[in-house]
Amino acid sequence: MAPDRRNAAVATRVGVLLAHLPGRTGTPRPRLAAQVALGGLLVYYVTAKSIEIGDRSLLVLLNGLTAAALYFLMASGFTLLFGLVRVTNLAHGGVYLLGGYAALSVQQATGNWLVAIGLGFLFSGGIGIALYLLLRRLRGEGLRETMVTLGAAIVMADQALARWGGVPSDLDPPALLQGSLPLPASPLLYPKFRIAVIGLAVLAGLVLWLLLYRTRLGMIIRAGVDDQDMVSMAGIRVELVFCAVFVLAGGLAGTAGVAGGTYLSLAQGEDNRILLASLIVVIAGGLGSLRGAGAAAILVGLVEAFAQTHHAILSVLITFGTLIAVLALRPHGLFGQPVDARL
Amino acid sequence: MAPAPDRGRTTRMRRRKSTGAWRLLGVLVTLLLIAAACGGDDGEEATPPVTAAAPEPAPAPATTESAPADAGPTDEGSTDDTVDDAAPSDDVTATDDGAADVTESITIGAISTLDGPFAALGDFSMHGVKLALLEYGGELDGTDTRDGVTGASVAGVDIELVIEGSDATPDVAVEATRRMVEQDGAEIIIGPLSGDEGLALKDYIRDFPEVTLVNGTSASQDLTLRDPAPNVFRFGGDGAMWTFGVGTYAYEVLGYRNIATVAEDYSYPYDQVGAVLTEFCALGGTVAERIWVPLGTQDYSSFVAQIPDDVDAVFFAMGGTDAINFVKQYDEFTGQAIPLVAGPTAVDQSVLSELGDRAEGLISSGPVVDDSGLAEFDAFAARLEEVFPGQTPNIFNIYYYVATKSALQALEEVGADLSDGSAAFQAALAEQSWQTPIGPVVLDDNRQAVVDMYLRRVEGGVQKTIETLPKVNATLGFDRDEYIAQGSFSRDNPACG
Repeated sequence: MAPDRRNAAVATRVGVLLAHLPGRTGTPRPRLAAQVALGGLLVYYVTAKSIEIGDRSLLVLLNGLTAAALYFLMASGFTLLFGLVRVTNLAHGGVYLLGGYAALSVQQATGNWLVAIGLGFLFSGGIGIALYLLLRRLRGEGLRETMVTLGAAIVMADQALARWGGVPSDLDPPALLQGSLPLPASPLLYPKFRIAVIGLAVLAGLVLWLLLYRTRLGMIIRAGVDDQDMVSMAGIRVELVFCAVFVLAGGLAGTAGVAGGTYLSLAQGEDNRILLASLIVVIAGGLGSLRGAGAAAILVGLVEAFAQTHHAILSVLITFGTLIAVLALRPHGLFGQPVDARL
Repeated sequence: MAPAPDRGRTTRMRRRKSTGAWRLLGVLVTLLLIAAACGGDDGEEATPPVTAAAPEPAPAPATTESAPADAGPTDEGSTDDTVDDAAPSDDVTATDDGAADVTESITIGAISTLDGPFAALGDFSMHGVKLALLEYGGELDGTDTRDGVTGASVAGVDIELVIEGSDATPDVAVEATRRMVEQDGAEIIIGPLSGDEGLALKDYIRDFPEVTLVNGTSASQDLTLRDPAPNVFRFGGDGAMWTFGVGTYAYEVLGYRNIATVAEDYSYPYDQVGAVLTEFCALGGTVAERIWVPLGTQDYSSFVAQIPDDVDAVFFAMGGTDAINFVKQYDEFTGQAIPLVAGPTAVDQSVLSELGDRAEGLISSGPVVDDSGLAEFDAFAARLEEVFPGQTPNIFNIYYYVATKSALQALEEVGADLSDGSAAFQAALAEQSWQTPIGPVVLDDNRQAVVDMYLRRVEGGVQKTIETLPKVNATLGFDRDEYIAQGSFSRDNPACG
């Protein structure tokens, strides 16, 4: 492809030029140049591919954002928990599944989706408390804690199988959000509920931000992330704060489970799939960083949607490749910090 | 600051020490490997004289305990050879001394996907296994899937049932089967459920010629079509056979000329898409796009987006959860503007209730319809409901039932005699020909069934017959050599224009 090659050449030349611009020390900066050249190529490629499918690009964008929304709901809880309590909670996917299933049972009993998501949040928050009590005696023993959460994940998956069976099922969206909207300039539609999921994630992000940066509890959590000992010396019962964060993280995972169980479905193995996805997001974003979780969720969601559309067979590889690329450039993740000043 | 150098030194020392230990370990392992390799060779060479000299060991392999006792490569080699060599020459000795009184019980191992994405299907398949054993005097140990059946017997020999589960991955399936064969001493294996598991088990079981694998629902073509193993039997169709007739029907009756396909990215869906396209393209149809989706995908939005606007229909081949998610999302994203044509398991009875109204009117081909009117089908349905309330016939419980019952019938014919490396049993199994709940079955030379298929349409939540397709064989009626020569179906085979 001639234009392809020409553009590549242009990008490389720009890179070489940049490399010879004097930096602060006056030496060439080949690394930055390579990054700029690569970035240019990538942008060009994505744009070209998007123009190729024309009207469907909007759909790809929306798909990416929907996936990002679900990932953010999962990853924010995970990263919060890691940031404060330093627990790698491998049972997070199990909480997602159980929260979703609990809401399913509630919906079957009451027929109301809002009641279902509310009780789903509370139920998974309760699982959060159970996890907190379970891990309490192992505080500080990182590996053991992780193994216990892994065990809890297996127990949860088996409980879900025993209680709700292996046949996949899903929640019905609330009447208001049923059906689809037409996409402009395309024969395709977009389900209303998926758009609502994006809204839900934005709302959750806002609430979390307000909670962390505008309330006393948030202040304590942030302080606890920085220095737990100092916080407890200041007369604050850190244990209660820990417990609150477990509830919050569990509740967020349960909410994600209800959302995912509505627009996707609840089934055996879903817990591991969503856990893996949120691990990628959390690591790419920087462990413990809420902003990072948001940014990485959007990145991973968009990359995944793009890869599935244009390179379906390689999509899994490309998603993991993104993580590798992020870590190669920023070893601590997008917003991660090497020291303990997280969040 | 101060402790840093100390710590550094200790670490370095430890590292040096551990490097030494690793090296020693490496040398040891290498030596062991060499020893094992030599030992294996010796064993094989030494075996024939041993057999000739001592007639006593000959009956031993006929006992039920011989298989699990094999541990090392040396033992294994010698046992196999003993069986092969001893059998023809010392025929009388073997049967007189051994089989009749040592075969006190026979162990059947059943494997299906009891965990993971296909867990529900695993439950169904075990219902089928147990129903067959109940016909031979067995009683259920309990209501749980993993609860066995006791008291079943064939020709006066007790049948024991061992149940193992996999999660639909080949590794786990092989590991579970290994436990049943090498620890529990299972002589007959029923299963597995999914395509790639079947291929992995074929390779494993080939090394145990005295053990017989009767396939459950694994539908990979090459379980029997190419490079078959002599101890692997399939009493049902494969993925391509299950999809027989759909391509022709789509072209000739529905009038489709240009289609797209969406299917999971592994061997079983390759076979389904391959079979549809083989027929469809031979008539002059074209395929606009073949979309391959990773197994277990939840969000199909990006794949639906790839379906071209100008195709006449979309053929989709998926199983279980994937089918439910796909149909739901396809409906949400397109309003089913382009009609769907289904693969066999995508609209199997096991998922129809979950698909609900969205499945109404879907055309497919497959082995099970609800209105066949066969007396055997109705009897099976009634018995299933009686023993497992609320269950209805589907591909999984029927196929596992047919597999188990075929094995039990063959056992009965040979008087439950598994001596001589199961030779008589396997011969009898290959000759099984009977009226199953879904029509007559006979096996071809590769021990692959020739069976009836049905073109069907979903109406009112059940599968109604459009047309019965009698005696579908493994090559879909095409010339055998030509069909095999075109190679295994893959992402882009057949080429189709």
